Amino acid sequence: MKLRSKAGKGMKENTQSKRPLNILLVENDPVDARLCEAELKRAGMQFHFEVVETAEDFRSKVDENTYDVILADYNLPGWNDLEAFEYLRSKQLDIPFILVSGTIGDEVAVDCIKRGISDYVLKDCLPRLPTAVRRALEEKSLREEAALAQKQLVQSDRRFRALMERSADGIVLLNSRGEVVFTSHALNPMLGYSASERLGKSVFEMAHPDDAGRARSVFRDLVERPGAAATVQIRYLSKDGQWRWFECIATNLISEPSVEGVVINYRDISERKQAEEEIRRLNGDLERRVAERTEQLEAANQELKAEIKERRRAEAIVRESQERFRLLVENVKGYAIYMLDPQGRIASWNVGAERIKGYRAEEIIGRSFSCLYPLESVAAGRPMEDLRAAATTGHHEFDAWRPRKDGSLHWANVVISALRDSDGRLTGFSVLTRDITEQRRVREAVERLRRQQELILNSAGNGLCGLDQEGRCTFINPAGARLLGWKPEELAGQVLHNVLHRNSAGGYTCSGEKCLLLGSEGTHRATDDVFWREDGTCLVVDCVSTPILGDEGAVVGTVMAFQDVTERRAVERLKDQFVSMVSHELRTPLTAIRGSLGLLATGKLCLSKEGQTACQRMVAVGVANADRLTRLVNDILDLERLESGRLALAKKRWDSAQLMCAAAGLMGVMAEANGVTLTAGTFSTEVWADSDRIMQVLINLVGNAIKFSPRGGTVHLDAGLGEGEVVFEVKDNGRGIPASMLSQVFERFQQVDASDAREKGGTGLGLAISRSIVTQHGGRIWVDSVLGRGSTFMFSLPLQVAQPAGAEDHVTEAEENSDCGR
Amino acid sequence: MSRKQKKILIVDDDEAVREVTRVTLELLAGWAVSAAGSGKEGIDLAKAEPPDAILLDVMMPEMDGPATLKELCSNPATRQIPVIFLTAKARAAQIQWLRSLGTKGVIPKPFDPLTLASEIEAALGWAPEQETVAERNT
Repeated sequence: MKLRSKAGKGMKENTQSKRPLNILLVENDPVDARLCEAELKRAGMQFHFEVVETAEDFRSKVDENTYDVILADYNLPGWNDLEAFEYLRSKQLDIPFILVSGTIGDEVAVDCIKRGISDYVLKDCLPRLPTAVRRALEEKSLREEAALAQKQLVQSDRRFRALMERSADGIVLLNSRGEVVFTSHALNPMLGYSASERLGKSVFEMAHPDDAGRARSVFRDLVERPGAAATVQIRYLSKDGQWRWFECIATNLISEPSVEGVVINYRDISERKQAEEEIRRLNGDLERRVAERTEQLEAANQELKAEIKERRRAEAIVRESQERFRLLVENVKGYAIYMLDPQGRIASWNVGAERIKGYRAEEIIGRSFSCLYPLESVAAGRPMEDLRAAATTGHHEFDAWRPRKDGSLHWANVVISALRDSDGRLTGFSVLTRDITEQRRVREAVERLRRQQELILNSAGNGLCGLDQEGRCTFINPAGARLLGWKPEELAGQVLHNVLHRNSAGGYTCSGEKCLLLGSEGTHRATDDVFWREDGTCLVVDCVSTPILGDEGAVVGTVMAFQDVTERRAVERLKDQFVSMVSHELRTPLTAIRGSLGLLATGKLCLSKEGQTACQRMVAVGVANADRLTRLVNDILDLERLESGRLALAKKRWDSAQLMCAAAGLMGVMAEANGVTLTAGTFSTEVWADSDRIMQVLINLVGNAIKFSPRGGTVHLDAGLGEGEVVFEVKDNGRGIPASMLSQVFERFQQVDASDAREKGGTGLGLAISRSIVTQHGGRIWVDSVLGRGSTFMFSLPLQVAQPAGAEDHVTEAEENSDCGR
Repeated sequence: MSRKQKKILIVDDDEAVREVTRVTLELLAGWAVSAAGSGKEGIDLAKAEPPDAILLDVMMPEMDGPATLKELCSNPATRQIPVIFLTAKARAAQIQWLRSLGTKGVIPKPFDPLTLASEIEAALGWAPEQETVAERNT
């Protein structure tokens, strides 16, 4: 028998909707089926009740209908209720399944419960069936509610996660210590860290040092207030090393069991911050520019106001000034001031013009200003030329002669200025004329005086220069500049101490202290100052410095006269050397004479035999040195007379052969005494000479040749013609002269060997005297020599070309003494 | 009393001056005198037989007095020998210059034979001879 019963989805639902329950009973015993139905009815339950016996029917019913409860007998023919239950499971149908059986044991019952069967009711306890049904429905209802709740929970969780994962903002869950418990994926690309890198770490670790303190403070405060929220803006260090701005909205959900933490919502606001910064910068820039512009405008405004005020004031002043100027101009007496119209007609005429030109205003105004020019200037068109020049350049100044009304001329300085209106149109001319006749006269006088002084300065042989108080050259005369090796214009303005006391090495030869070139208060002299030229040479000068006094009596500069004493000093040095040499040459024989005479005077030399010998020797020394002294004095006097020109030469016509013969004759004895052969040539020509002096030269040269020739040597005296002169020569084969001495042998006391003077009896002046004599005859003297082979001394005399009147009157000692004469 | 005889070296290029000086110092002062005609010869003699003092002429050819003095001073063998210039340079400035060269004294020419020895002694700080050889011979 099949019992069908409709039932709802659950007791609760059934109760709420009052819908009858659909109950399917699987029972092969109709009695039991009725008992079950009866028990349920008795319990007051509303239901549709269907009964099936076979498995097929069961599957069919279950597939086609919806049942609230299934009741099943445990033992069914061919199948059992567990199979029925497994079928439901296979169909995933959650229908309360209550086992109703009369034979089931406890173990089976427990097994059935373990398998998921809702309950079991023994057939002999059927009154418990309604309770079991209600409880099964109740459990199902609870199960459904739980499943629904679970489903909703899962859905909610999925939504929550989806929201967090898909949110553009990063979400982080922190525990109360601020450590990251959860981090959403959205935060990873923002900072570049993976979630695992951040989990467990303090959220403040990566915060900017400037923001971390504030963020910790906010967090601590927030943690104390459950449910509270706070917003902070904070910078975090991203993994690529950049600081990024985040806006963090933190909510304290620590007390929320499902969260138990602080949820922070991160939003990357770097770009916003950057934009804000840019906006701030732009705003600042704009504000600054606005402020500047405002300031400029205000300043411009102020300037404009000030300018307007100033212009008004200036206009007032100009008006006042113009009036004053007009009055002034009209009353100026020292200057002729008048106006011209563009055509050159006189428009105004002041008192000065009347005084200088002689015209009164009423008689000149309206006339052409050319009446103020000389006639020849007018004829040459100068008036219009001058106006054109002024119109072109605006200002034309010149000096010129100008006639007065009475016809007299005055030298005028004229300034013509073009007058133009604000549009540049020529409105006329102003003419200012000064009578500078007197100035011209003074200037000309000054110029004459200057030229005169310049002439004096230029003609002065010594150097003259003016120095200002700083030692700068204000003028220098040509002689001075020439001495210093500069041009006058090169020295003008230069500090002469710097120029003239600086030597070629760049050092200063004057410290500047008490330097006359740097000025002096009184008149001072300096001797032997050294001035350096630009070419590195120097000159020795004596200077006299005299101060120039200004109008107030103060020193305004100095005039310095300087004289080149270089040559004089050189001569003085030579003179000193000569005096020293002469002193030595005179004192040496004098020492011998004084010593020998002093010894003799003691009388002690004659007391012994050896003393007597010494005595004789001392007498000989004294005599020899007295002779030497005599010769020396004679030679010195000779030389002095020759060189001072005080020795007049008694020139006469002489034959060269005659002179040579005479000299050879005089020197023959000496040559013989020295074992030297002396020969003389016979070249004959006329010479014009003082025979005594020429004989002195020949004797000196021949004597030297004999003295310096070895015994057995030869000395030859000869003469010959040169170009317009007769050349005498004395040749020996003696020791010769070193080349280094050749240029000196004619100097005073310049023996080749200084001991020669003693040993050979010379004074050291013979060749110097010879040179002087020859030079005074208009000839020259020189020597050729080879050391060790001999020397040839030569001198020349001009050939006789004319016979001076009275010359034959001279008769010389040489003429008289010569063996070869007459 | 036996005193060691003073040895003097005269250096002068003028033979007459050398002879007069030698006679003066030998006969009047009793000193042993040697003489040289040039600076070079004087230096050689001074090295060979160092004298007690050198009387040195100033103006000599080749090596003059100052050059000879310089050479003597540079040689350890002659450095200690006192030198007196005997000179014809008579001007005060010249004598002052010669004194500055390191000599013991400067005696100008011509000299007085009677006082030459005492001038040398004074310059060298020697005690005057009690009795000269010449005096002893009388």
